[in-house]
Amino acid sequence: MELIECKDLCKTYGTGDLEVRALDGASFSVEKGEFVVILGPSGAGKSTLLNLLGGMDTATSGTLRVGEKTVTALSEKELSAYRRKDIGFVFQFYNLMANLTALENVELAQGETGMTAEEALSLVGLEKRKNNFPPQLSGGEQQRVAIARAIVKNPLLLLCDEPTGALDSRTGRAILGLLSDLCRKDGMTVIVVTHNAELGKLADRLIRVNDGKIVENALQTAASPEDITW
Amino acid sequence: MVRRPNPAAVLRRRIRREIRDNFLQFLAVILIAFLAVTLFCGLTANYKKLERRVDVVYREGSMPDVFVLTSGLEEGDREFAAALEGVEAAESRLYLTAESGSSQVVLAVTEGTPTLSKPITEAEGSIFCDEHMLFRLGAEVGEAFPLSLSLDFGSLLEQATGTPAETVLSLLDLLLLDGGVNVFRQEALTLQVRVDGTMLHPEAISASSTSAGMLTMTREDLNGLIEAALRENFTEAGVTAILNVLAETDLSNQILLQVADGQEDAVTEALRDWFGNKETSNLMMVYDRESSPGNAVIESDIRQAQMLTYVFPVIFFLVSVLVISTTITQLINREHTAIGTLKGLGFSRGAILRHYMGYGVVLCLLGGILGVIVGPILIPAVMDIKNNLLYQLPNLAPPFAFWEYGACLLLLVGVAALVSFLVCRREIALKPAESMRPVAPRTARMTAFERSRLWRKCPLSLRMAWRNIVRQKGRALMVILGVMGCTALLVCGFGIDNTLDNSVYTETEVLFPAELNLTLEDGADLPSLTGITFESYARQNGQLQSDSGVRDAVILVFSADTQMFGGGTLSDEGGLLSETLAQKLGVGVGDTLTVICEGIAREIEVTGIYRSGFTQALVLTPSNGDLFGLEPSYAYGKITDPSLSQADAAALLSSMAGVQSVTTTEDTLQTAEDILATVRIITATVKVFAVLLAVVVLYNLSLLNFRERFRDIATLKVLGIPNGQIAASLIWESMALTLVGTLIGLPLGYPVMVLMLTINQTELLTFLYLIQPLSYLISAAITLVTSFAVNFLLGKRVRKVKMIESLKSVE
Ligand SMILES: Nc1ncnc2c1ncn2[C@@H]1O[C@H](COP(=O)(O)OP(=O)(O)OP(=O)(O)O)[C@@H](O)[C@H]1O
Ligand SMILES: [Mg+2]
Repeated sequence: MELIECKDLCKTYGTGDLEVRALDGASFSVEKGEFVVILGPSGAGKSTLLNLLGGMDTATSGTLRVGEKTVTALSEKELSAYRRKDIGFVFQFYNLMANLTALENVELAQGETGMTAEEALSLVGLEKRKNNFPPQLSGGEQQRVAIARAIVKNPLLLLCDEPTGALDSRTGRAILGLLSDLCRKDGMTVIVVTHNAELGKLADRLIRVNDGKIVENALQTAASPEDITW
Repeated sequence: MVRRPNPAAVLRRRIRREIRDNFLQFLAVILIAFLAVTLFCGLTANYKKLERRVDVVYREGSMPDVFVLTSGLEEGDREFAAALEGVEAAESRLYLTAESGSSQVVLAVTEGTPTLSKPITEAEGSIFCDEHMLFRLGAEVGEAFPLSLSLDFGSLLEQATGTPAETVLSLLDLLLLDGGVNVFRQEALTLQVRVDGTMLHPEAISASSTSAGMLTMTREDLNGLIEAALRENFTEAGVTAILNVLAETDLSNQILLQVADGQEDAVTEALRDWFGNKETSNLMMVYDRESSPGNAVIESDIRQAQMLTYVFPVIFFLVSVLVISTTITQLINREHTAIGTLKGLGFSRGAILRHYMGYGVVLCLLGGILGVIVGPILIPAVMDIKNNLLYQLPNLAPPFAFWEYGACLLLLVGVAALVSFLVCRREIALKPAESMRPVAPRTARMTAFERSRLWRKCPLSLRMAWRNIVRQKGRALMVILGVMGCTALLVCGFGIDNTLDNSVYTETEVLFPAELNLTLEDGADLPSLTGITFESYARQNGQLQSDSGVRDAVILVFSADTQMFGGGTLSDEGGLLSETLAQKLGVGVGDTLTVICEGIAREIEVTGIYRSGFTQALVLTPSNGDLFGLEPSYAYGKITDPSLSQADAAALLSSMAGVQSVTTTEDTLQTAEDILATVRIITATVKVFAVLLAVVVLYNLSLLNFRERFRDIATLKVLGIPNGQIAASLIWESMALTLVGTLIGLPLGYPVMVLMLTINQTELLTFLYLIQPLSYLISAAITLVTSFAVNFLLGKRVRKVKMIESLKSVE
């Protein structure tokens, strides 16, 4: 069975004249352990799709199943639990809590099962900086803390929205290497959103979005992060 | 041509949008400004209005500047006074205390229509009384009521005719009608008075139940009334004879003077000399307008109202300024990157400064102006409910206290502008690139607590709360100070009530526990009545002298084993002195005082000190009291029969022979309440405002905290942390700060209360300071519950935080 099954997913913002169809009948599925890249121009609806996958927003119509759960049928409380247990989220702007240390930021997401916060930090190579506060870390380091926070609970899905958007190419490559390692070595399902076509080469599965619709959904052989240029 | 909006206009549009988005926050600032200004301006208007109402009565009623009280004017007195330098007008009158039923009435009789101290009325005629008196007598205009004059007609007749009083009286006995009574042999002459209308009168401002009514008429009116009373008893010949004598008699005993400004003291001095140089002085007293009895009461009330205006609202005002400053600081700090961006876009420093100073100034101005309008309308109106029960004054619009209101507004707006300016300047001084980056938290170092083992055990919500407090010391301090101010105000408000109650309780229950206080007639024996135990005592005014001064005091004499005085054990060795007197005289137990009473001076030792708010006395036993020849002419009565009410006992006793008058504890309590009414109502108002302030301050500061943490809240929600837990962290933080603020504020309530009441202390009234534990408890509870409620409601808003929108932007 596929890990993700998405059927006719729609999301509209606003009403009447101001109505925007951010997602217009998206259907696709993703297997467990795949490294998925979602590509598309700005405003295509990539973030909207990712937010729906992560249970941060509710769809206007259509169904979305992740693992055993039908996400589109969950209540707000259940969505909260879904985010807590099953989803790891990495944002373009890290979104760490400035007044918690790196370690505490990770602990925030630590569950009963999964690894400990320190393990997660050493996985991203930041065990030495665990007692620093985010403003004392570089952008790349902050993003690694964010990734540690996302993976500490061993999520079903790791969702990343433009994770390298605010980083230079070398740091960006390191982050992507880290994400693909997580997928290859630890068997985590990773979905990365980007508008950078070059990054598409890293994917096992490439999904192209345009104007709220899925225009391509293809399996491919992934390249290694060292091989791509951007 | 394309319309080019000028950048300033764009910024103004931004202000409007900003206000819409931060509506509640801004509303809170407006409200705080409004409350502070309302209270200050309202209370200012209240006392100014009272003052003005008094001024109007004084002006229209030509309140005299100097009063000369004599036992009866003599040849030359009037002429001397009228001719003094600075005297602009002089008038003599007869002034005496009369009774109607059980009410005291002051009767003022002038030769013709009065020119000084005159009635203000629209009615025709010349006999007027104040409204309150008419109400108390249950009489109406045009309806007759009895008035008993206790003029000593015997000696008047003796003076007028040069014949011994007894001879004249015997002569009058012969001129009686059948069944007529020689009214001059009686204690008092009863007249049937009909008033032509009610009046306001400069000497009859007070309408409390303790003050006498005022009745004015001309000499002609009085003669007419006396004639009517005589006709019922004497023959035509008798009436004519007596009236002839009366017509030639000068009854006047007072001179009223209108004096040029600044000459009052010189005139008073000259008058004292004039009377002092006589062989036997007929002078009783000379005083100026300021110290005239009616004026002293209202002046002290106005002063009370004024002082409360300056102490209570000033604290209130300071808390408000504090909170407003915090809010503005935070609002501008939140604009950190926006300011950088504006600068990057090339806006001038001036434009940016004006933009951000605009927020604070506009908000404070809005709230302030609203306060200036509402306060002076609302608060005097509320206060007047009580004022109108206490005083008889004309109705006037509250005056517009331009300077006070202006200063108050200016201060508020000035502080807002200054704070905005300082904060903005700091931001603007940064290079655009610097300010476009988010600010790093200032202290990233960990406290000892954070490195401890205990820290690891704390739930994350608690840890976050701690970090927020430690990292944002400024804001935390503001919350603490704000809460502290509110708590202190509340404690102070409740404390004032406690103190007043305590002062009254000590007086009526501890010091003088008897329910009935009797004045006995000369030489009368103690009455006896089953169900009441009586004990007589003596009371006389005297002076106490120590090395540091002389004070008026009451000398009380109780038997050594008295049950009626609870201020300590009396001893034959000396006397018990009130604490206030002891302080003013600078004496303590074991010291000796010179006591002057009934023209006798003796040395008496202070054997103890007692505390009282109202009775400043030296309490002696008969062994010392006899030194002054003090005879017990008063008695206290304790009711031992529980079925006997105070009013019934008083009624029974006053009809008994030998009892001149009776007052009950209930009467005393009523009097005390009358005296304390102004303080009480202002206290109540401020309590209400303190609670309002607490609500708004806590709401505002919590909202501020909430907005600042928007992104954090969104992040926590994304991580799937339940809304309840997120709210808990916010509540933890606020409650911890509230608790600290409350704990500091509680002990501060006492000094604030003392400060406020000290200003109100007079020679007659001292306060026995007391704050009941319950008051502390209630004040703390109000603050804590308010804080919790406010935060709880805000916690509900966590649900509404939109994750996606909040996480899109940097910062
Ligand atoms: N809250 C909202 N209200 C109205 N329209 C919205 C809202 N959020 C997104 N949209 C619209 O939905 C469409 C898709 O937005 P989305 O954020 O998914 O784009 P994206 O593909 O992530 O673009 P980018 O690569 O620029 O991040 C856009 O046209 C956007 O304007
Ligand atoms: Mg996007």
